[in-house]
Amino acid sequence: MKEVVKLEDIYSRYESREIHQGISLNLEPGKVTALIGGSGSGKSTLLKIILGLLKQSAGKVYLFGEDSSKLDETELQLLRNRYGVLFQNGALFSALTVGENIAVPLKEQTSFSPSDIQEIVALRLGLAGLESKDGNLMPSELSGGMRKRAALARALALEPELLFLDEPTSGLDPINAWAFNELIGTLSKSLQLTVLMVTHDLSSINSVADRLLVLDHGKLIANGTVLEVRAMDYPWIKDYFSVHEA
Amino acid sequence: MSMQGLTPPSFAIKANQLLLVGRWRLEDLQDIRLEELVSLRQSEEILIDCSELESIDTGSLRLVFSKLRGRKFAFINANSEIEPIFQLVLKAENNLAEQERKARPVLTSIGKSVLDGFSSWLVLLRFIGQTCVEQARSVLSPRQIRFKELFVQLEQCGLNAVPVVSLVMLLIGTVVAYLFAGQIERYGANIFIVDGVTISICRELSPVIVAIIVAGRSGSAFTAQLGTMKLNEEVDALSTMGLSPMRVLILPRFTALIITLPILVAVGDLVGIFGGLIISDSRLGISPTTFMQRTQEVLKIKHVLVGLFKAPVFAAFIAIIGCKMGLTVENNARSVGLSTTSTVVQSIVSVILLNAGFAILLVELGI
Repeated sequence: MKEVVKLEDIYSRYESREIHQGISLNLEPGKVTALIGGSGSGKSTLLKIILGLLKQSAGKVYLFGEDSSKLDETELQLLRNRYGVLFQNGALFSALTVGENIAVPLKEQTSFSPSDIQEIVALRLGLAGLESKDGNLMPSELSGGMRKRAALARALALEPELLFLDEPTSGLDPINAWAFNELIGTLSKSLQLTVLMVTHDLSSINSVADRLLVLDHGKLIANGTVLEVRAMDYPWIKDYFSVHEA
Repeated sequence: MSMQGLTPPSFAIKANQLLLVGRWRLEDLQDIRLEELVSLRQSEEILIDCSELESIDTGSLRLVFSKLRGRKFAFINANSEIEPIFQLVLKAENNLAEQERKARPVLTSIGKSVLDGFSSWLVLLRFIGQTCVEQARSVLSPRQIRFKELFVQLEQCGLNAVPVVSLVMLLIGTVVAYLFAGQIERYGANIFIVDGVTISICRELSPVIVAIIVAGRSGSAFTAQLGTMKLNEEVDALSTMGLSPMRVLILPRFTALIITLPILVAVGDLVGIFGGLIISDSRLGISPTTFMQRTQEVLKIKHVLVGLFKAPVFAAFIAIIGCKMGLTVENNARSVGLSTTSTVVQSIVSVILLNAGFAILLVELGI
């Protein structure tokens, strides 16, 4: 098995505050890994470092086995085509319809004909559980659940092997959140995606996650299967699971 | 995902059988002529043979399906990795809908834009009416005036604008003086530079230019602030607390702009005349004392008052356009940007139109 995402001893700071103090991890390919931690523990920052949107102060990020700091722009772009990102609020381009949003990566990175692109857009909408006519809506006309689905459809546009999800169920009602978790579970199983999701939502962890990473005070305090982590004797982890079960 | 070869994707057609070969990835598919698959459409049922297919992704499969649309097809020899992908794509295929045409016929779009324009004028009229009623009410019962908000706005629209207004009007004063100086020198009518500079600045230049600066500065700020507050549901929150958005948000801005614009115009008058004074001294040798004496003689009070009287009218238009555009922002971030741009354009155009109207009116009245 080839490694997909590997972090080696990542340190980062925001102004004078240390955020990450030596984070090393290796995502298991084809598995859904959830990254949890308290507010301000640096989950989203770690995601941004992996995506190259923020720079770590020390340490290395390997994507698909390549040190991302050593790549030039064209090589980086080839790597970027292999992963998709679902941002927390969808980050759909507000000037474009949903369909045009999904077509953006296809138009920019491939040379398919417009009709082929339309086919792929319709497929992506279908995969994300939307109807083709939803592609004609503007992002401002979407409900919270549809917005997440549209953003997921765009993240899947280029057939990624790796999917990053930032708080995929935040702002959704429990039924929509459940449906979205189911969707992620189905897609990741049948497409054999490697998924890293930053989340707060225990139901996401229980329903789709295979593995769990726990960040606390800038350190990775747990890395294992959901059952292994649940059984750990660490205050934050115990609080996290007991609060939800109470 | 075990041991995968790297055979490039290809296909072969035999009677009603389609043999897919190799590793089908969307990015490798751009060089393949999938159009040839259309020839399969003759046959009643198509068999897709996957025995030599290493892997296929959903996008590739969808493109294959799209070429076979309208025919029945079935898979043979699909392995356990490929099977779920077929299922996934077939399920997504079911809800393919007709493509909606977005483009409207010309007549429809003309009609729609006329109606839109008309209804936005109605909204504006209603808004002006509400503002006037609330303003009258607050004048009748001054205890309802929100002094805290009013003073914040007076500072932001008035005091904070003084530096930029001064700089711009100083430069306008010097430029106008330079222009006059070049012409007047030839006739030896040096002293008339004072008439030209002071009257043009007080009557036309200062009111219009200061109003344009304020439109760009405060009008756009009104729209952006109110628009963001509306997006953030702050306007709704105010209403639920029993505070009228009109009284808390609009009237302070409206009143502040009507008070500050004439003051800013007066500042502009002074600084502009000062700019003219400097140039008259250096270019034409008219001493500051002579300049000021001449100003007293030729600059009648009516010229200054005309400028100061126009200012609150400009201010009312800028404030109403800015606030109305802010409160009619739609529920998305892009709309704030569009409305802000539109505010600046509308206010500047209305300032210039109003000024032209005033010029004609005042000439006809002989003022």
